[in-house]
Amino acid sequence: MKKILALTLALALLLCAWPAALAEEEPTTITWIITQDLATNGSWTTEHLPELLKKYGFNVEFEVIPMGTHDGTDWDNVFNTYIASGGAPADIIQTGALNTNAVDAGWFCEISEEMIQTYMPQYYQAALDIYEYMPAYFKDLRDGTVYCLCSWNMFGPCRHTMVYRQDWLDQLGMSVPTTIEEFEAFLRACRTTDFNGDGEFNEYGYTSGTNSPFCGFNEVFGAYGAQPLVWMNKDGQIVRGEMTEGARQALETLARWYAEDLIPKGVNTTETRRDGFNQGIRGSYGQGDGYAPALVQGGQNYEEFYAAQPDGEMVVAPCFKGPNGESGTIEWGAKKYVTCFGSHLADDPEKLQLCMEMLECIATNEELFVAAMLGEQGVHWDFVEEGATSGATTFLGDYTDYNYRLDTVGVREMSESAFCTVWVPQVYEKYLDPKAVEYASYETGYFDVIGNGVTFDEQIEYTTDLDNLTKEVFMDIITGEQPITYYDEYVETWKANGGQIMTDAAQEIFDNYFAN
Amino acid sequence: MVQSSRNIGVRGRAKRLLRACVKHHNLLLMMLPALATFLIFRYGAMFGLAMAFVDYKAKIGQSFLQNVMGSEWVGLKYFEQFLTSLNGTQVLRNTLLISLYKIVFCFPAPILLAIMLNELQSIRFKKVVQTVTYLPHFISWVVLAGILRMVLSPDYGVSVAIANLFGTTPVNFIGNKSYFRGLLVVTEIWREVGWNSIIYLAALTGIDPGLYEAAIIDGAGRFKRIIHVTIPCLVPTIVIMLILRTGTIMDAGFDQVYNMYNNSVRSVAEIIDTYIYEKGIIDTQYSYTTAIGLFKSVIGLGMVLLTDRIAKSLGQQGVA
Repeated sequence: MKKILALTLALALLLCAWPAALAEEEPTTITWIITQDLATNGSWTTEHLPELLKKYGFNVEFEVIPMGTHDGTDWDNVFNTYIASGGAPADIIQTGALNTNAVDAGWFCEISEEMIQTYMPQYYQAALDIYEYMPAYFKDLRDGTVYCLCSWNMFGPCRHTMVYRQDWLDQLGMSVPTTIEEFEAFLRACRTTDFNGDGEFNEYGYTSGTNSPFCGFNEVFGAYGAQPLVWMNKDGQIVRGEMTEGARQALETLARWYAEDLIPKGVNTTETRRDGFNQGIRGSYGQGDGYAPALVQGGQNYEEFYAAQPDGEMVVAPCFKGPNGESGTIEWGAKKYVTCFGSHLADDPEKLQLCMEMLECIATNEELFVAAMLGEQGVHWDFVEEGATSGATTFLGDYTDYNYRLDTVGVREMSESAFCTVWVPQVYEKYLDPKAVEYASYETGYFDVIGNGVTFDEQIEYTTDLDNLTKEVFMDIITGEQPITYYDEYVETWKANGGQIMTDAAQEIFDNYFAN
Repeated sequence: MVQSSRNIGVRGRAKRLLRACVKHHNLLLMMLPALATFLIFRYGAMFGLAMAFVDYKAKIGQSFLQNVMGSEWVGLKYFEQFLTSLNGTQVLRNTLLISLYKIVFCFPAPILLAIMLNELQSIRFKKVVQTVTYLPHFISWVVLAGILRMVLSPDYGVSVAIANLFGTTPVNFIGNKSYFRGLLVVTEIWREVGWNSIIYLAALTGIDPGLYEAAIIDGAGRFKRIIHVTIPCLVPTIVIMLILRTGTIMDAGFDQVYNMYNNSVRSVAEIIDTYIYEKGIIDTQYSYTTAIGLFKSVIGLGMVLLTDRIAKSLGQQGVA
């Protein structure tokens, strides 16, 4: 009897001590460098996600390396300074694209597709399903070494479109322009109508802005089958959009519009597309601002517009078509951000495996995904439709404020997360706004066939000078400082000053990774 | 015997120096942080110039010294690349031209203001003018550039109202190559004229009143007193300031240009500093931009020595 009692007591003690021993086990600290500082130490996700992860067997804690502010430019400066100084990276490093300088500095741990397939099977399969060339973005395109995982935009590679003032169109008795001729008629009508009644006739139907991505006027270039500063595939030949005949035709049209006062004089200095639209003096916008999720109720652009123009009405529509039926605006393409692992993990394969499996778990487990992407339901966010269990989501109360949300919760929006750096459609599709998905389907768009942000040595050496040249020449032609014939001279200058070298290198990369 | 007295002389000087150091140890201690800062950040940082001659590749876990020593030696490659690049001669020309315009137009402005203020009889009015002209100096170029964009917008700025008043078409000052450098000069004068006049006002207070009294007795009017007393007394200060300003001829004003320029005026506005920022910090071409920075510094040093020599040959006091 005594023996049985002693055995029972020993077993009870063991059972009591076992969870205590587990709880006392030191968590593994995972350090992060997160793009745009989407979360910081002390934010809700940094604290709570590790707690949730414990339920799934991950005993970890997070430490975020501060990179400055939520502003992208500042982030790049800090990141580049780290590289130059030989500073130490984190365990997990999230950036816009694989940074070749960081690769050369020995920042990243080499991984393999087999490792991704083994430790992150659902993510790997989803990546292949989304875009057949996605594994190319896992690699340093200079030598094919695999360094990273990559995410994609949940709304697809093309998710930008045009936005018009529906009430202006109604007042003019016009429908949404579907061709460039109809669009020009809209611009002309806008110049002779005083929509806001201030007697100044300062309304324009369309503008570009100094904050435009690339060269601006992307929908006009798109109507002629060109996208400047973007690598395009023309029947297997890689060419920069600014070197195509379509770019020349678009410039001719834009120069004529400028001369006829159909677009504002300050396109090169003071124009900001969305501000003008929200102020009620511009009739449409596109380019980077026509981002589908921002155009639905609860989206930033939608809410800003109706707050500024409560009597106005906006409508989202496909881009107008050019003479050959082409249309579209600038797109960021299939790849979104990349996730790399610090080079020190090469000596710690267990931790590398832990990191990869943890990312797979966050991507594929709905509870973790939602916490990492949106925060806590009912506190930080909720579905737009009351009582819904899927569909559009919105942030609540103070958390609607972008910077406040990033500081306190550590989340930005669907498709932009600090700790959920990759994802799978089986989980995220449930949380997409169907209206935004519809808007994102309007365009097949134009995106860089090599990959947005993807760099190679020749591009790093020449692109800044050449892009600056392009932007200046294009603006000179549009504003009438130079005749359209100047374009031919520019093409020669571009090619002779590194453009041809850059194009040849881009062709080689395309042939190696994206052609077959 | 001679040797012995020389040793005593050296020892004597050393003793005197030591005694002086002990006596003024408080002052020396106060100077120490500034001296250390200068040594570390001015002389210590000079080692970084070695980056201009190597193909600098940072390696994780290595010190800067190790990185520099471990990078491939390329000699003058990056200097040559800069001078033969698409933008090299353009940014060099822009830097020199903008700087030259500023020396020609901005440098005399505070001298004129100081002289005019010196001639004012009403102390209250003088103080008001001084305060008003100093104020823009305390507003950053980020803010000033934003204000200028709004004011000079060809679509809705104040310039539109002015153009309408005169029945002309608004001019896009910020986006026009012909006007942009002029705009830089005018805005620089507006921002700095008051602040830069302080040193000349201080110099004016040091002029012996007896000189003015003598000039009055000789029948000199106000204008003659300025020409024959005020300006000659200001010349040493002006020369020193000019030498120092010439030494920074390759600094055409990063903050101002970076915040005001745009794609339309880049070919007349891009200066060495903005180019270094783009190629160095954004494009991470560290060796290339270090070479450009070194090139810029050498030209600056050459200009200081040249101006100093000219000043001395004209009988003025130099800086070296």
